[in-house]
Amino acid sequence: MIIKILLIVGILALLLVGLSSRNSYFGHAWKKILFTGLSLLVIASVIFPDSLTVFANFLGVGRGADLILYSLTLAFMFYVLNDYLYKQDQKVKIYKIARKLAIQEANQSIGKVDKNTSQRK
Amino acid sequence: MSQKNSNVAIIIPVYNESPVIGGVLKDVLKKFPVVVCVDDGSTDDSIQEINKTEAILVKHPINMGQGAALQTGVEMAVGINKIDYFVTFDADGQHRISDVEKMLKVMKKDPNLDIILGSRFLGDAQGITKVKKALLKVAVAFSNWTSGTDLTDTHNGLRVFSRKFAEALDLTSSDMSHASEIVEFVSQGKFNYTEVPVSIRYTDYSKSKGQSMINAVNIGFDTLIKKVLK
Repeated sequence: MIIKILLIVGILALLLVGLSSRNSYFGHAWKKILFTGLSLLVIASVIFPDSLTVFANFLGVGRGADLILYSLTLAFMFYVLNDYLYKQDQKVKIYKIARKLAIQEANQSIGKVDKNTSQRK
Repeated sequence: MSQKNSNVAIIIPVYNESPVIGGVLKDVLKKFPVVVCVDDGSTDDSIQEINKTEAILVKHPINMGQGAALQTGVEMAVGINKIDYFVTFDADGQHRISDVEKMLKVMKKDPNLDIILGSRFLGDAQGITKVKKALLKVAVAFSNWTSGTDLTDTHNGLRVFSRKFAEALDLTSSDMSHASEIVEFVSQGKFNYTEVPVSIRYTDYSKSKGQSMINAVNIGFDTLIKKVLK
């Protein structure tokens, strides 16, 4: 019984932090709705553990625990891919800034030597 | 002063090449007055070696990979108004300046050409190992397959291209897959391209500096993923 209280309190705390956050990740309304829905589902499955098995059976999975494992695996893989794409995106942006900086610096040092050799666009 | 080749920019990405870069630059500068060296965050004395010469130095604040360095060099050279021809050249001394002159001649003869790619399979590659040759052939077949081009060598560092091509170029892959990216770009952008045979000298130095062949796997996957995600 204690575990149920701990789980529910934990999920509610996460939900509160998530919903009150104004950063770009939770800025999208649909992400908030999704997150809320998921949290409610988790709370429901904590209160009524058997409901998960019923749903699992409906999908053709033996136990609710198995269903959780499958969903977690899927969610984790999705997260890794999402994270990878996000990081690639960030990298491209950082490189663009670094490139601009490098070219600016080079143009400045050329300017000191010979103003006619190079003109900025 | 209308110096010979003053409308040509030689773009050389440099990453920890201090033993050879000085000599390579000296040779190149004899024929080509405008050389853009992009130091990709070298940790050795490459920068000092470049600074001893007349080459223009662009310093990446962080290491970003050869593809990123090429893009930086091209953008730097595009900013120099008098430049009409852009040449990418490897820092390790594997390319020949006479090949650059040969490619430029072809380029100047045909104003419709946007890019000329050096091909070591039309020419001759000295000191190449059989394994490397086989691997390169696979890479060529792979690049042709993914991009729909018909080239004999897709992973050669020696290229000459026009201002139109240089201004359009936007390499985002930072590592060695930029070679495939350029080929893709050539095939998509409706650019006129051709190949010119070039000689490559595989010295012990260039071999030790070259990427490990297993990296071909990474490049292959990167290219495939890009193709699938597109």
